Amino acid sequence: MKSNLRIGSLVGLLLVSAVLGLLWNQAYPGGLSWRLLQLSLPDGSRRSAWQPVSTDSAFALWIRREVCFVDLRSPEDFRLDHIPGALNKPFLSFFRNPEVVTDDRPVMVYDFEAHSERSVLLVQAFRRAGAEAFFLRNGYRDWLAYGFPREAAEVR
Amino acid sequence: MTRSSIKSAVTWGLRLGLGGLLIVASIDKLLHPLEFSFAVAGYGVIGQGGALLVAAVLPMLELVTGLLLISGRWSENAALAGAMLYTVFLLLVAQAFVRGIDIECGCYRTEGGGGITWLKVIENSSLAAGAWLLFYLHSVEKERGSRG
Repeated sequence: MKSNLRIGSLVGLLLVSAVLGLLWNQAYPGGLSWRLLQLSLPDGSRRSAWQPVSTDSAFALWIRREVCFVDLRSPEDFRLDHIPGALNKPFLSFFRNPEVVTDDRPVMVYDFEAHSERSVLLVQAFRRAGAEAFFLRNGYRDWLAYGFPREAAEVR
Repeated sequence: MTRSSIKSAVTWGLRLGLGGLLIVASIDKLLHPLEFSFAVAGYGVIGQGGALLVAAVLPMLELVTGLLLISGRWSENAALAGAMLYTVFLLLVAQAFVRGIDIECGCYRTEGGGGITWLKVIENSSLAAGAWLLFYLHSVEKERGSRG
Protein backbone atom coordinates (compact mmCIF):
# COMPACT_ATOMS: atom_id res chain seq x y z
CA MET A 1 0.00 0.00 0.00
CA LYS A 2 2.75 2.39 1.08
CA SER A 3 4.97 1.49 -1.88
CA ASN A 4 2.03 1.94 -4.27
CA LEU A 5 1.51 5.40 -2.86
CA ARG A 6 5.20 6.15 -3.29
CA ILE A 7 5.24 4.96 -6.91
CA GLY A 8 2.13 7.06 -7.55
CA SER A 9 3.85 10.12 -6.07
CA LEU A 10 6.94 9.61 -8.22
CA VAL A 11 4.87 9.14 -11.36
CA GLY A 12 2.96 12.30 -10.42
CA LEU A 13 6.23 14.21 -10.01
CA LEU A 14 7.42 12.94 -13.38
CA LEU A 15 4.17 13.92 -15.10
CA VAL A 16 4.12 17.40 -13.55
CA SER A 17 7.75 17.92 -14.60
CA ALA A 18 7.01 16.63 -18.11
CA VAL A 19 4.09 19.02 -18.54
CA LEU A 20 6.04 21.96 -17.12
CA GLY A 21 9.06 21.05 -19.26
CA LEU A 22 7.02 20.87 -22.46
CA LEU A 23 5.26 24.15 -21.66
CA TRP A 24 8.58 25.82 -20.89
CA ASN A 25 9.99 24.69 -24.22
CA GLN A 26 7.04 26.17 -26.10
CA ALA A 27 7.14 29.47 -24.21
CA TYR A 28 10.90 29.98 -24.17
CA PRO A 29 12.30 31.34 -27.49
CA GLY A 30 15.30 28.98 -27.41
CA GLY A 31 13.20 25.96 -26.42
CA LEU A 32 12.45 22.79 -28.36
CA SER A 33 9.49 23.42 -30.65
CA TRP A 34 6.68 20.89 -31.16
CA ARG A 35 8.00 20.29 -34.66
CA LEU A 36 11.39 19.38 -33.30
CA LEU A 37 9.92 17.28 -30.51
CA GLN A 38 7.92 15.31 -33.07
CA LEU A 39 11.27 13.94 -34.23
CA SER A 40 11.41 12.05 -30.96
CA LEU A 41 8.60 9.82 -32.22
CA PRO A 42 9.82 6.46 -33.53
CA ASP A 43 10.48 6.49 -37.26
CA GLY A 44 12.58 3.40 -37.72
CA SER A 45 15.85 5.29 -37.33
CA ARG A 46 15.67 6.02 -33.64
CA ARG A 47 19.23 4.92 -32.96
CA SER A 48 20.71 7.45 -35.34
CA ALA A 49 22.29 10.58 -33.91
CA TRP A 50 22.62 13.80 -35.83
CA GLN A 51 26.27 14.09 -34.94
CA PRO A 52 26.89 17.81 -34.88
CA VAL A 53 30.35 18.44 -36.33
CA SER A 54 32.82 20.92 -34.83
CA THR A 55 34.09 23.77 -36.98
CA ASP A 56 37.66 22.51 -37.28
CA SER A 57 36.51 18.97 -38.19
CA ALA A 58 34.21 20.49 -40.81
CA PHE A 59 37.14 22.46 -42.20
CA ALA A 60 39.16 19.24 -42.50
CA LEU A 61 36.24 17.65 -44.39
CA TRP A 62 36.03 20.74 -46.60
CA ILE A 63 39.75 20.54 -47.45
CA ARG A 64 39.38 16.87 -48.39
CA ARG A 65 36.11 17.59 -50.23
CA GLU A 66 34.51 14.69 -48.43
CA VAL A 67 31.16 16.32 -47.82
CA CYS A 68 28.78 18.52 -49.73
CA PHE A 69 28.11 21.71 -47.78
CA VAL A 70 24.53 22.95 -47.84
CA ASP A 71 23.78 26.51 -46.76
CA LEU A 72 20.21 26.81 -45.54
CA ARG A 73 20.15 30.62 -45.27
CA SER A 74 18.29 32.89 -47.61
CA PRO A 75 19.67 33.49 -51.15
CA GLU A 76 20.44 37.11 -50.14
CA ASP A 77 22.65 36.02 -47.25
CA PHE A 78 24.20 33.30 -49.39
CA ARG A 79 25.09 35.85 -52.09
CA LEU A 80 26.95 37.97 -49.54
CA ASP A 81 29.27 35.13 -48.62
CA HIS A 82 29.29 31.41 -47.86
CA ILE A 83 31.57 28.41 -47.51
CA PRO A 84 33.29 27.89 -50.90
CA GLY A 85 31.58 25.19 -52.93
CA ALA A 86 28.44 25.18 -50.80
CA LEU A 87 24.99 24.79 -52.31
CA ASN A 88 22.21 27.11 -51.27
CA LYS A 89 19.04 25.35 -50.18
CA PRO A 90 16.96 27.91 -48.30
CA PHE A 91 15.32 26.26 -45.35
CA LEU A 92 11.65 26.80 -46.05
CA SER A 93 11.68 25.98 -49.74
CA PHE A 94 13.83 22.91 -49.17
CA PHE A 95 11.80 21.69 -46.23
CA ARG A 96 8.59 21.95 -48.20
CA ASN A 97 10.08 20.06 -51.09
CA PRO A 98 13.06 17.96 -49.95
CA GLU A 99 15.30 17.05 -52.79
CA VAL A 100 18.55 15.22 -52.19
CA VAL A 101 21.63 17.11 -53.31
CA THR A 102 23.45 16.40 -56.54
CA ASP A 103 26.33 14.08 -55.64
CA ASP A 104 26.81 10.99 -53.51
CA ARG A 105 28.84 12.62 -50.78
CA PRO A 106 27.36 13.06 -47.28
CA VAL A 107 25.70 16.37 -46.66
CA MET A 108 26.94 18.97 -44.17
CA VAL A 109 24.16 21.40 -43.39
CA TYR A 110 24.96 24.78 -41.89
CA ASP A 111 23.12 27.84 -40.66
CA PHE A 112 24.58 31.13 -39.48
CA GLU A 113 24.04 30.61 -35.77
CA ALA A 114 25.28 27.78 -33.58
CA HIS A 115 23.00 24.91 -32.55
CA SER A 116 20.45 25.82 -35.14
CA GLU A 117 17.12 24.03 -34.88
CA ARG A 118 16.65 24.52 -38.63
CA SER A 119 19.87 22.56 -39.23
CA VAL A 120 18.59 19.67 -37.17
CA LEU A 121 15.29 19.60 -39.02
CA LEU A 122 17.05 19.69 -42.36
CA VAL A 123 19.46 16.94 -41.38
CA GLN A 124 16.48 14.83 -40.41
CA ALA A 125 14.79 15.59 -43.74
CA PHE A 126 17.94 14.54 -45.61
CA ARG A 127 18.18 11.37 -43.58
CA ARG A 128 14.58 10.49 -44.26
CA ALA A 129 15.31 11.00 -47.93
CA GLY A 130 18.11 8.43 -47.61
CA ALA A 131 21.16 10.73 -47.54
CA GLU A 132 23.86 10.73 -44.92
CA ALA A 133 23.71 14.14 -43.26
CA PHE A 134 25.42 16.09 -40.49
CA PHE A 135 25.44 19.68 -39.45
CA LEU A 136 27.96 22.31 -38.49
CA ARG A 137 27.54 22.55 -34.75
CA ASN A 138 28.63 26.15 -34.22
CA GLY A 139 27.35 27.53 -37.50
CA TYR A 140 28.80 29.74 -40.19
CA ARG A 141 29.46 32.50 -37.64
CA ASP A 142 32.08 30.27 -36.00
CA TRP A 143 33.51 29.34 -39.42
CA LEU A 144 34.08 33.05 -40.05
CA ALA A 145 35.48 33.57 -36.55
CA TYR A 146 38.11 30.89 -37.30
CA GLY A 147 39.04 32.84 -40.44
CA PHE A 148 38.30 29.88 -42.70
CA PRO A 149 37.72 30.53 -46.44
CA ARG A 150 34.55 32.12 -47.72
CA GLU A 151 33.35 33.22 -51.11
CA ALA A 152 30.67 35.44 -52.55
CA ALA A 153 28.82 34.11 -55.54
CA GLU A 154 25.53 33.68 -57.31
CA VAL A 155 23.04 31.15 -56.07
CA ARG A 156 23.52 27.76 -57.65
CA MET B 1 25.83 17.88 20.42
CA THR B 2 23.15 15.20 20.61
CA ARG B 3 22.73 12.42 18.13
CA SER B 4 19.44 13.80 16.86
CA SER B 5 20.89 17.27 16.30
CA ILE B 6 23.76 15.74 14.28
CA LYS B 7 21.21 13.80 12.27
CA SER B 8 19.14 16.88 11.57
CA ALA B 9 22.26 18.88 10.60
CA VAL B 10 23.29 16.13 8.17
CA THR B 11 19.76 15.99 6.73
CA TRP B 12 19.67 19.76 6.35
CA GLY B 13 23.13 19.84 4.74
CA LEU B 14 22.30 17.04 2.32
CA ARG B 15 18.98 18.62 1.37
CA LEU B 16 20.61 21.97 0.71
CA GLY B 17 23.64 20.55 -1.10
CA LEU B 18 21.89 17.99 -3.29
CA GLY B 19 18.86 20.19 -3.95
CA GLY B 20 21.02 23.21 -4.75
CA LEU B 21 23.16 21.16 -7.11
CA LEU B 22 20.07 19.91 -8.96
CA ILE B 23 18.80 23.47 -9.37
CA VAL B 24 22.16 24.76 -10.59
CA ALA B 25 22.46 21.82 -13.00
CA SER B 26 18.99 22.43 -14.41
CA ILE B 27 19.41 26.11 -15.33
CA ASP B 28 21.85 25.83 -18.25
CA LYS B 29 19.93 22.83 -19.58
CA LEU B 30 16.66 24.77 -19.46
CA LEU B 31 18.28 27.64 -21.34
CA HIS B 32 19.95 25.44 -23.98
CA PRO B 33 17.75 22.36 -24.45
CA LEU B 34 18.91 21.52 -27.97
CA GLU B 35 22.57 21.49 -26.94
CA PHE B 36 21.62 19.38 -23.93
CA SER B 37 19.94 16.86 -26.23
CA PHE B 38 23.27 16.48 -28.08
CA ALA B 39 25.01 15.84 -24.77
CA VAL B 40 22.38 13.20 -23.85
CA ALA B 41 22.68 11.47 -27.23
CA GLY B 42 26.47 11.46 -26.82
CA TYR B 43 26.14 8.91 -23.99
CA GLY B 44 25.09 6.37 -26.60
CA VAL B 45 22.17 4.95 -24.63
CA ILE B 46 19.31 6.50 -26.56
CA GLY B 47 19.13 8.01 -30.03
CA GLN B 48 18.87 11.68 -30.85
CA GLY B 49 15.08 11.51 -31.05
CA GLY B 50 14.74 10.13 -27.53
CA ALA B 51 17.37 12.60 -26.35
CA LEU B 52 15.10 15.45 -27.43
CA LEU B 53 12.34 14.21 -25.17
CA VAL B 54 14.79 13.76 -22.29
CA ALA B 55 16.11 17.28 -22.89
CA ALA B 56 12.57 18.65 -22.73
CA VAL B 57 11.65 16.90 -19.48
CA LEU B 58 14.76 16.13 -17.39
CA PRO B 59 15.89 19.72 -16.61
CA MET B 60 12.43 20.56 -15.27
CA LEU B 61 12.41 17.34 -13.23
CA GLU B 62 15.78 18.35 -11.75
CA LEU B 63 14.51 21.85 -10.98
CA VAL B 64 11.27 20.67 -9.35
CA THR B 65 13.06 17.98 -7.33
CA GLY B 66 15.74 20.47 -6.25
CA LEU B 67 13.14 23.00 -5.14
CA LEU B 68 11.21 20.34 -3.21
CA LEU B 69 14.41 19.17 -1.50
CA ILE B 70 15.43 22.66 -0.45
CA SER B 71 11.95 23.73 0.63
CA GLY B 72 11.54 20.56 2.69
CA ARG B 73 8.10 19.95 1.26
CA TRP B 74 7.08 16.39 0.39
CA SER B 75 10.51 15.59 1.74
CA GLU B 76 10.57 11.79 1.70
CA ASN B 77 9.31 11.46 -1.86
CA ALA B 78 11.53 14.32 -3.03
CA ALA B 79 14.52 12.55 -1.43
CA LEU B 80 13.61 9.32 -3.21
CA ALA B 81 13.22 11.15 -6.54
CA GLY B 82 16.59 12.85 -5.98
CA ALA B 83 18.23 9.54 -5.13
CA MET B 84 16.84 7.93 -8.27
CA LEU B 85 18.00 10.87 -10.41
CA TYR B 86 21.53 10.78 -9.00
CA THR B 87 21.62 6.99 -9.47
CA VAL B 88 20.62 7.32 -13.11
CA PHE B 89 23.35 9.95 -13.61
CA LEU B 90 25.86 7.64 -11.98
CA LEU B 91 24.87 4.72 -14.22
CA LEU B 92 25.13 6.89 -17.34
CA VAL B 93 28.53 8.26 -16.41
CA ALA B 94 29.83 4.84 -15.36
CA GLN B 95 28.74 3.12 -18.57
CA ALA B 96 30.31 5.94 -20.65
CA PHE B 97 33.54 5.55 -18.65
CA VAL B 98 33.60 1.76 -19.04
CA ARG B 99 32.85 1.98 -22.76
CA GLY B 100 35.53 4.66 -23.14
CA ILE B 101 33.16 7.10 -24.84
CA ASP B 102 34.93 10.39 -25.42
CA ILE B 103 32.28 12.95 -24.52
CA GLU B 104 31.87 15.94 -22.31
CA CYS B 105 29.84 15.28 -19.18
CA GLY B 106 27.07 17.84 -19.74
CA CYS B 107 26.30 17.50 -16.03
CA TYR B 108 26.11 21.14 -14.96
CA ARG B 109 26.64 22.90 -18.27
CA THR B 110 25.49 21.73 -21.68
CA GLU B 111 28.94 22.36 -23.12
CA GLY B 112 32.27 21.85 -21.43
CA GLY B 113 32.29 20.61 -17.86
CA GLY B 114 35.09 18.13 -18.52
CA GLY B 115 35.21 14.64 -19.96
CA ILE B 116 34.19 11.41 -18.28
CA THR B 117 37.04 10.33 -16.03
CA TRP B 118 37.18 8.07 -12.99
CA LEU B 119 36.98 11.26 -10.89
CA LYS B 120 33.61 11.99 -12.44
CA VAL B 121 32.48 8.46 -11.58
CA ILE B 122 33.59 8.94 -7.96
CA GLU B 123 31.88 12.34 -7.82
CA ASN B 124 28.62 10.84 -9.07
CA SER B 125 28.94 7.85 -6.74
CA SER B 126 29.30 10.22 -3.78
CA LEU B 127 26.28 12.25 -4.83
CA ALA B 128 24.16 9.13 -5.31
CA ALA B 129 25.29 7.76 -1.93
CA GLY B 130 24.45 11.10 -0.28
CA ALA B 131 21.03 11.13 -1.91
CA TRP B 132 20.22 7.59 -0.73
CA LEU B 133 21.43 8.51 2.77
CA LEU B 134 19.07 11.49 2.74
CA PHE B 135 16.19 9.24 1.71
CA TYR B 136 17.06 6.81 4.49
CA LEU B 137 17.18 9.61 7.09
CA HIS B 138 13.82 10.94 5.96
CA SER B 139 12.28 7.44 6.03
CA VAL B 140 13.56 6.81 9.57
CA GLU B 141 12.28 10.20 10.68
CA LYS B 142 8.87 9.56 9.14
CA GLU B 143 8.71 6.07 10.66
CA ARG B 144 9.41 7.54 14.10
CA GLY B 145 6.84 10.27 13.53
CA SER B 146 4.13 7.78 12.63
CA ARG B 147 4.96 5.61 15.69
CA GLY B 148 5.13 8.40 18.21
